[in-house]
Amino acid sequence: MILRSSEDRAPLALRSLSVAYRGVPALWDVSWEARAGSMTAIVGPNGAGKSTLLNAAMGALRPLAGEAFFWGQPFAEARSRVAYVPQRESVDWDFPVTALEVVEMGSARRLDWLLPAWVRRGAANRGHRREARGCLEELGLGAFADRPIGQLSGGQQQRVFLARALAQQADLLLLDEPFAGVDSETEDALFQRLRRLCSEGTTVVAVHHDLETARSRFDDAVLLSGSVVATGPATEVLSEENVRRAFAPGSRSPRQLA
Amino acid sequence: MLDVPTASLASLASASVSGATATPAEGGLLEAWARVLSFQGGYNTNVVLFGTILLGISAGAVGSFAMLKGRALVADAISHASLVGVALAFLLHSALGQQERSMPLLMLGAAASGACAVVAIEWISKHTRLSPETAVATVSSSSFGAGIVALSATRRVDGADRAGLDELIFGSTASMTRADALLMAVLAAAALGATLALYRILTAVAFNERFARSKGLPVRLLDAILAALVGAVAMAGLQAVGMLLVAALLVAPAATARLWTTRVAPMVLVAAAAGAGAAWVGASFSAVTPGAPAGPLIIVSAASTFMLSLLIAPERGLLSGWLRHRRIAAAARRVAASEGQPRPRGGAS
Repeated sequence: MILRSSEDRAPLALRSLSVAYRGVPALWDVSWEARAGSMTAIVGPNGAGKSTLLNAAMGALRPLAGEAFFWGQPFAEARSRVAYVPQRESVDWDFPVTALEVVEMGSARRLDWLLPAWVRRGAANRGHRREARGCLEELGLGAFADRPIGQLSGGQQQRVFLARALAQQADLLLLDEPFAGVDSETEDALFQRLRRLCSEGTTVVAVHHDLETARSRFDDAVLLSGSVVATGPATEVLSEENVRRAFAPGSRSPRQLA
Repeated sequence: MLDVPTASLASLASASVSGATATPAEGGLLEAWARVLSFQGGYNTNVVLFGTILLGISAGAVGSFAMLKGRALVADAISHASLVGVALAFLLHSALGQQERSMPLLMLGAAASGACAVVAIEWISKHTRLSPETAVATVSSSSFGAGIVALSATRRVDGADRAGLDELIFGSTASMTRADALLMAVLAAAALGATLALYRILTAVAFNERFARSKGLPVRLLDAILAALVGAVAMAGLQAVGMLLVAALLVAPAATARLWTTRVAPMVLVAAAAGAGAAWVGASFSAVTPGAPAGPLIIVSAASTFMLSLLIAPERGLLSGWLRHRRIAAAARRVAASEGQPRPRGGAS
């Protein structure tokens, strides 16, 4: 066996990953590798296990079997290189926090969490703040930096989360429905930004529900319906035939998987 | 030392009131209250008053994070569950032949049963399909039932000083010794210090747990720490505020602060101030009116602040909401009216 350097390995590789909630399978025997520097859409009907796939890969859910590797390593070893944007619904948008504070959570290093702001004053802290502000400005939210997130529109909130992901300066972005509630113009700008990151070597894996843009905007796709229906280039994976199979009534019933 | 209650607040308070009875009763009460409020009620009164204020500060800060984390109800469960622990600790203590009430031991009992309640809630919400809310309600009320049963068992113990036990349910500063007050102050200060030290990390986990987990923050450990902080405040408040009412002292100042603020740091400060204010007003009023227990007075003043805030707070208050609604409704009516009729000659208004 030849050991390759971790750089050669896929940013994300799933090996026979299976997950269940209270004995009901949600994801069954998923194997797949992300190509470095590509954009992959994870597509499938509701309950197909799209978010579960991301959460299980990051170890937030314990899989029944199988493993997930990031550049050949478990998530715990690679987490500083991974940025995650959770689903909108998982967040309390009335939380008393400003857009800038949210983005700063992205750039926080390990020690920062333990030191209260009044201890961290100084050059490093100002650098962080400037960085975070830069990420907001890049996504057109410079003017909203000091607003409580509850006062922002849905699309703006989604952009704040993407700004936080940018602030993490990660090599792999895991995005859960990043375009939910985003208008088409903003979506366009966000796709361009993500594309530029990819051309710099970043890998993007996004749960995405719109088949049209999944075909036109993404390089690759994973079509899920509890188990993998197809993987590969987005246009091939999302063929009429495959989509019909994945979205057919009954196909997504997880009980049939086991 | 054993049979003489160590310089209790009650005797001090009645002394100060009887000292003032030369003037008409009404003025006397207010005067005495003003004296205690301005910390001129004597050394022992001040120790209890300062301790209670520190408890209020701590409860406001810890309660803010409990509320932000969506775990305000867990504070309620802990406080209900502490009764069974207190009663069992008391039984154990008297079974060992001890006559005197031991506050630290009762606190430990409360802490143990509170911890059991938190573990039970976590377990139920993780391993069943019941909602966390259901888990909290079930554990909270059934452990309180168990507490009442255990409390009735303490009635069978002869000769033991169980009078203080009932006081612990609704709280009373009257029977507090200086040592009790110091214990309360130390616990409250420790909880406050830990909360401030973990301020950032608690905020991050409360705001977005999944993200915090992806960043490698010890989410489960922090949950346990927050529960422990809530437990510490509940223990500290056991005697002054009472095991049932301490939950309100954790939640009401935080809820008040949320009405006035839009960021975490100011919210914690306002909650701490609201908690301190309630403790100050309630405990001092109790000191000058024998028979009026401190706990309920503190909670009533915390609740009054909350209701007043609910009414008048900018942005989130009822009044400002109503005014906003009226303004926008009037604007909408104007638009509708101007479109319903042909425009006046000349066009632009």
